[in-house]
Amino acid sequence: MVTRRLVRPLLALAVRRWPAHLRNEMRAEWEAELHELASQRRRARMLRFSASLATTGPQLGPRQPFLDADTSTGGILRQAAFLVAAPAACVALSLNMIPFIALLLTVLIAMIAAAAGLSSPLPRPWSVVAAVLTPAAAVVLVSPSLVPYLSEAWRQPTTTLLWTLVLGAALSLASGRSTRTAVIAAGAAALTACWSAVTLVVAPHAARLGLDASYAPLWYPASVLDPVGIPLGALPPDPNLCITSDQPCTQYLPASSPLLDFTEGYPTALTSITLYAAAYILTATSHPVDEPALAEDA
Amino acid sequence: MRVTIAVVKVLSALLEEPDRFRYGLDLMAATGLPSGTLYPLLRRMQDAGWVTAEWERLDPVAAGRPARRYYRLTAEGIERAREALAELRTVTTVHRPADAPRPRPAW
Repeated sequence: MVTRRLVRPLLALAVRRWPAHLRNEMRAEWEAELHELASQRRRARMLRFSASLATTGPQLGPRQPFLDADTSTGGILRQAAFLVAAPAACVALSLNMIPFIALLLTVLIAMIAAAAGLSSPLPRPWSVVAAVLTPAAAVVLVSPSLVPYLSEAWRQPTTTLLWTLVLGAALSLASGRSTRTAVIAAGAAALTACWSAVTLVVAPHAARLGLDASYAPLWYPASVLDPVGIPLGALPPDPNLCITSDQPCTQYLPASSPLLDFTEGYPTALTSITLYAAAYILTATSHPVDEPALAEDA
Repeated sequence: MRVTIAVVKVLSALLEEPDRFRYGLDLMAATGLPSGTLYPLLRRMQDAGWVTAEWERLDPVAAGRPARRYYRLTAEGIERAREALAELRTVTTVHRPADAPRPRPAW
C-alpha cells in the first residue's frame, strides 16, 4: 500500500515528461509492468522502476522542458497560493524557530519551490521574478502590522525595496543561462541583496542597541553563520554578548524590541525568502536549449 | 540512429529470438538496463523502424491484469542489428601483429 502511494506520484511525473501524444500509452505500459512487479511483491523493484522513469527524460527529438507548464486554472491557483504562502512561511519560521532549524526548514521550502518552478505557467523571466518577489516583499513589509513586536528592521520600505531590486535584477540576468552560471550569479545576488539590506538596517540602530556601528557590515555573516556553528568571534548578533561590556546587551533594549528579532529574525527571514525565491526563479526560467538531444544518424 | 552500448544490449536481447515478442520487464532483465534508459530507447528504435510494438490481445478483467506491450525486431531491425553487432565485433577485436610474441605459460 505504501509502495503504491510512493509509486503513483513518480509514475505521474514520469508520464508528464513524455510528449503529450505518447503519455497514455506509456502510462498503460508502465502500469502493466508495475502490476506484474506488485503481483510478485517486488516492492523495491517497483520503486526503482518508477524512480528511474521519473528521473530520466525520454530525449525524443528536440530537448524538452523537465515538465510542461501547468496552465490549467487549478494549476495557476495552486502556484499563486504557493507564491504567497511560501514567503509567509519563511517569516513565520524565522520568528518562531531557532535560526538553524529555520534555515534547515527553508531548504525544504526551497526544494518544494524548485519543483513548483518546473511547472510554472509564467512565460517570461521578468514575469516569474515579479510574481515571486512582489508577494515576498509585501510579506516583509506587512509583517510588522501582523507581529507588533518586530523591530525597526522590518519597518524600512527602502531597504526592502533595495533587497527586492538587487535580487530581482540579478535573478533576471541569471535566468536562462547555463545551470552553473545561473547558480553562481544567483548565489552572488542573494548574498549581496541580503548583506546590503541587513547592513543598511543595522547601521542606524546599532548605537541605540549599545553596539558599535562599525560592526554593521559584519552583522549579516555573523547572524547567519553563528547559528550554524561557525562563530565569527564575539560579534553583536550573539545576544549574550555586549561590545561595550561583558554584561548582557538586553539591558539596553526596550522590551518591545527583542535583540533576538533584530539580530536573528530579520537576517534569517531575508535569507530564507531569498533561498526560496532563487530556487523557484531558477527552475522556472531554466528552459532547455532547443537542439537535438541525440544524433539520429540512420 | 546512433548505436550505443545500451542499443547494442537491446539489439542483442531481441536478436536472440527475433520472432519472439518481448516486454519491457523482460528486456530489462535481459539487458540490465534501468527502465529510464530502456523505454526511451525502445521508442527511438520504433521511430527508426528497427522495432515494432504490439499490445497484448487480452481481456484485462478475465486475465486479472492489464495488457502488456510487446516488442520485436522488424526485418530492417534484424538486418541493422546484425550489422551493428558485426561492426562492434570488428571494432572490439584485438588484432595481433604476425611477429608479435605468442603468450607462453609461466611455468
